[in-house]
Amino acid sequence: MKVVVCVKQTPSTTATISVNDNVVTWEDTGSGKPNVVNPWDEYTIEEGIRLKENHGATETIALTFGSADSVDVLRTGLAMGCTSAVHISNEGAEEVDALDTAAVLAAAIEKVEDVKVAMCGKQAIDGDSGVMPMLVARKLGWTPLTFVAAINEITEDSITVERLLENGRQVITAKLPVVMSVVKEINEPRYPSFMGIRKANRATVPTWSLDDLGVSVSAPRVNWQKIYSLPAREGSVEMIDGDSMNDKAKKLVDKLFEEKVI
Amino acid sequence: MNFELTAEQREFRHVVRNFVDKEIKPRAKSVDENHEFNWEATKKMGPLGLLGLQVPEEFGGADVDTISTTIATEEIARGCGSTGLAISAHNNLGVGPIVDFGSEAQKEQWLPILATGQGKLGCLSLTEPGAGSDLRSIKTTAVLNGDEWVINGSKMWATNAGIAETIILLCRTDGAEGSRTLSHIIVPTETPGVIIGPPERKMGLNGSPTHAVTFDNARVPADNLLGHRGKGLAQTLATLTKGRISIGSLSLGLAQGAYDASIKYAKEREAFGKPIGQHQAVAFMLADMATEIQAARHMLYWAAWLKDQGKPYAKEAGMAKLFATDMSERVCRNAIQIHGGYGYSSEFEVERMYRDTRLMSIGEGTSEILRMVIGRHLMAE
Ligand SMILES: Cc1cc2nc3c(=O)[nH]c(=O)nc-3n(C[C@H](O)[C@H](O)[C@H](O)COP(=O)(O)OP(=O)(O)OC[C@H]3O[C@@H](n4cnc5c(N)ncnc54)[C@H](O)[C@@H]3O)c2cc1C
Ligand SMILES: Cc1cc2nc3c(=O)[nH]c(=O)nc-3n(C[C@H](O)[C@H](O)[C@H](O)COP(=O)(O)OP(=O)(O)OC[C@H]3O[C@@H](n4cnc5c(N)ncnc54)[C@H](O)[C@@H]3O)c2cc1C
Repeated sequence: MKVVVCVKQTPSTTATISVNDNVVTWEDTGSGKPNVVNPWDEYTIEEGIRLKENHGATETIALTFGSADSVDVLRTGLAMGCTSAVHISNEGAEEVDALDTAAVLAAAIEKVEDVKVAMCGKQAIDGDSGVMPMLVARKLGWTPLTFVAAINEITEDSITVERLLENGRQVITAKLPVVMSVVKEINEPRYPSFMGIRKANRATVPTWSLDDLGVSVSAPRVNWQKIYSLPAREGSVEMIDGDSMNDKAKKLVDKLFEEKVI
Repeated sequence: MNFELTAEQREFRHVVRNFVDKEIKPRAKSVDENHEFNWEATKKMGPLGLLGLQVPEEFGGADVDTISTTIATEEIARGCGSTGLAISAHNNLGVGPIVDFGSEAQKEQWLPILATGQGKLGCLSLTEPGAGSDLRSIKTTAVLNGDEWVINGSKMWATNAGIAETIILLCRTDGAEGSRTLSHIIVPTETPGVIIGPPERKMGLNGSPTHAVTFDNARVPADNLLGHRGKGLAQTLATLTKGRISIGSLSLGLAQGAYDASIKYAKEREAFGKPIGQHQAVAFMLADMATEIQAARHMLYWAAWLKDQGKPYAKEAGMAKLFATDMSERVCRNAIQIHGGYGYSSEFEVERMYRDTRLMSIGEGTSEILRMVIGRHLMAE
């Protein structure tokens, strides 16, 4: 049984992002690494590796669709313990909408062959749509299992998971193959080991083109017409005066009622 | 000539930095205040490779080069001086000699436990109440009795002793005085007759326990002799030469941490209607800090690079430690200056960094001894 983990490269959470004339740029002087594994996908990678370690998966394959530079996230996946990785080049398809991204990922998962579980993060911290797991499942005709917080059991042809919903946990069993999205409650991602980093740096990561997958992408159906930074939030401070602590507290409570905070 | 880190080195730095920001830096204040060693983070270091930085992979180590080791040490100290010292002493002093001088059997016995975090840490105990810089005055003895060494004597200032699996001991294995009768012996801390004193009370580095250790007829197998009998001093000097890059890196990390805090503060804190960093006197302090930090980092990388190339590096390692440790003290001092009254408060981390960095010009070769070593090299050239 093979497992595919879909990993997206995103700006690091500590990057400073600026927008100029509809063009978004970012840098991260602190960490020196402006692009990282989408933080939600760290849980995906970890769970994929655990399926190999604890549930008899034969291979855990990391997959990304993006620029040449995005191979970096696959190396992180390899350093953490994925068995192999595939990069799908976005050359000639730099602007792709979610539906086509899903078609690309689905075609790649099919090309890997014999995949029983494909995993995504809950969402990407840049695009933030959280739609990819459902779209990929639909494209493949597989069962989508979203917001998975625990994998209880995997048999020859079924999987039992716990989904984290707003009002509790739902335990469900589904037939394989499935596409899952995982939430951060599922595990604590390991740090890549130095030994892993070395191995990952020496590994060759194959690149598949859209032609290799037999997928063509159209012009985005959703157009990003304008991108701008939110205006800086304005705030003001008011020091509350009063004769005594009680008096001050009372005035504060009145104010909070007035402003409908409480 | 190439000043760039390799892709692998950059990735190491990223991983360690990330680890330090999540697991080490947030606990730095409390380990100092509560005099606690950060075991929780240390246990997680094993799988990462931070406990066996230069241990061959076959024994569970990361086997990285000296530049990567320098980077790792700097990063840990940037987050927490105490944890930095403990882990650096473990790697360089407690584990390094086994890698460099150990027999195959000793490596197999100790390295996997020490390098992977399965066991406790490593420790090297040289200093005695009456012998620090002058190791020729060491009095602790080990006498071969059948197939056992019987050890007696007192050691001082052993970093990690209380959290160690093993102590590598420098002691006299033959009656005569002088430098040719000293040897290293590996002593498991569990050995009856090894008495580890309570943690010393110190100015800083309170999250890194330092202990006096007494040996009262402690017996270990004859096979625990590490390296060659009578070559203990030479083995020690080789270890300390490497260790100098490491102590330099700790100083660098502390300086970088103090600088990071200062630049942030200088942008936020206002006086006389503008951020204090826009007052020239403060900006000049920041400029000097950044310049000196850069210089120290290059000196350390240079010494590390020479070592990785298999070239002589003792003089350069000495220079790098001498400069980096004094530099770090100046930087941490000015970091407090920039923070004003708050800098003197233990609420702000620069106060701790200043106390932590003070050790660095004393441990593993005082600045005075280093000048002596460098001077000797210069005169011999
Ligand atoms: C340069 C650029 C231009 C774009 N232009 C457009 C545009 O014009 N119109 C438009 O509609 N969208 C555009 N997009 C957005 C892009 O289509 C979405 O980023 C993408 O569809 C994924 O959606 P998401 O980021 O919201 O992912 P989510 O659905 O939030 O991601 C959930 C999970 O899906 C997986 N995943 C998502 N993306 C990938 C990937 N690339 N590789 C591997 N796994 C992945 C990960 O596991 C992730 O955790 C553009 C993006 C870029 C970078
Ligand atoms: C926190 C901490 C951790 C330590 N960890 C360890 C450890 O893990 N293992 C270990 O073995 N030791 C350890 N030490 C001990 C440390 O290495 C010694 O303190 C150091 O080597 C100096 O020795 P000393 O204290 O005996 O000082 P001394 O050697 O007595 O020196 C006192 C002063 O005289 C100067 N001096 C001495 N000789 C000369 C000379 N020839 N010319 C000019 N000046 C000279 C010195 O520079 C110094 O200023 C630690 C110490 C501390 C404080």
